[in-house]
Amino acid sequence: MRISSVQQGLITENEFAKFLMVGSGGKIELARPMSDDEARDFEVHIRGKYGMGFACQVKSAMSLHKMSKNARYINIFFDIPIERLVNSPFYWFFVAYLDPKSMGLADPTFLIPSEDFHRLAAPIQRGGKWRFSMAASMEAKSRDRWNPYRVGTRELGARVLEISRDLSKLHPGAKLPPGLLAIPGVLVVRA
Amino acid sequence: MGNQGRSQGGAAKISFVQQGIVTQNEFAKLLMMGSNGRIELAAPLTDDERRDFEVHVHGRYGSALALQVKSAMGLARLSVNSLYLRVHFGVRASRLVNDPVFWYFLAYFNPATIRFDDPTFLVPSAFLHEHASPRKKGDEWLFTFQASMEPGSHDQWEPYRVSQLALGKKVTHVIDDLRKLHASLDTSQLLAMPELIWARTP
Repeated sequence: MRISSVQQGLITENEFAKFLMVGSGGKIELARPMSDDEARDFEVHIRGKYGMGFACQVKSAMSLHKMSKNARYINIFFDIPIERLVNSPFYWFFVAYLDPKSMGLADPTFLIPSEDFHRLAAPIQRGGKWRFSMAASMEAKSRDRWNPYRVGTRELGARVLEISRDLSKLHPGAKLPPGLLAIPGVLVVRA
Repeated sequence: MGNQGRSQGGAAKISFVQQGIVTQNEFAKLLMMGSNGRIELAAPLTDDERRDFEVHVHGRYGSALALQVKSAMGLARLSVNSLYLRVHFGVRASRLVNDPVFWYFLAYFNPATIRFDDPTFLVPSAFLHEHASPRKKGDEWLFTFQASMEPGSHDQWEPYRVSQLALGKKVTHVIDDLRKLHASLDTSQLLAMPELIWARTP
């Protein structure tokens, strides 16, 4: 007997939340949506910064595939109905291998913006759905297409803080209303 | 999540609420994975009875174990080479539960590795309440659990040490033992019933 896919999903989500909370020294807050209609597992924001968060979908595997002699790969497949596909800088995927032996997430994990994921994960349109397949090397020296998105479990908190800060610059609330700078005597001060 | 009994080292900056959630989830993960999915956990909607989880073996209703999770994010050095897990907590006297189905799980959550360190401790409530330096203050019982983390230690908490990867199996055994205890108690009660006739097939 092995754990069910529901247990696997819950454990991986809790692992992700743990590494973000502890790895950020408590700065990152996570919230689970009451419904899963938008394929978001978590809303993530920096404590006290409301309206500046991003959404994250967690995907996991509990086995690795040997695709060549010394290369272990994590394989993830899933479908998304076409009308539910979200391409947004504020929507990210977290992909990880949940190691049954150590009972925890193994390094590396992958944190990928949705636009990049949908482009790189071999998208195939079938019926009313998009099918995505991600096969990423888990080997330390790999330089595959998923290499830029690798994050060590203990670096996840710091990486998400960095992503949040970058995204806050893109956020609609961070942009100045048009014409503001044209008003005489207006000074804009930013931290 | 009104869980008392958490202490933090200087390095830890997460809040007590975050610590409570993280350590309870970590414990739940170890039980689920360590039992190959056989153990099911349920979190009570209210924490009035000081239970963080009701735990049962998949498909076996009516033989649940209640568990309270206590954690620390720092260790205390009590002598040159001895690191100790120390957890203080208080329980209102009217809410103190000494029951064979109520157990405590206590562990050190290491902020550097972001998981528990071995050993962890699984202790029956009655034993903990008796041996964790109990003292009464007003209408509250105060407890200090202090256990050595050193491999060679033979302190009073040694019989309750569990490696985190063995927790799933250990809890399954505890539940099995409690079922047997229930079964034997039920049989002894039968013998005391008046006018009971025993019949046996040959």
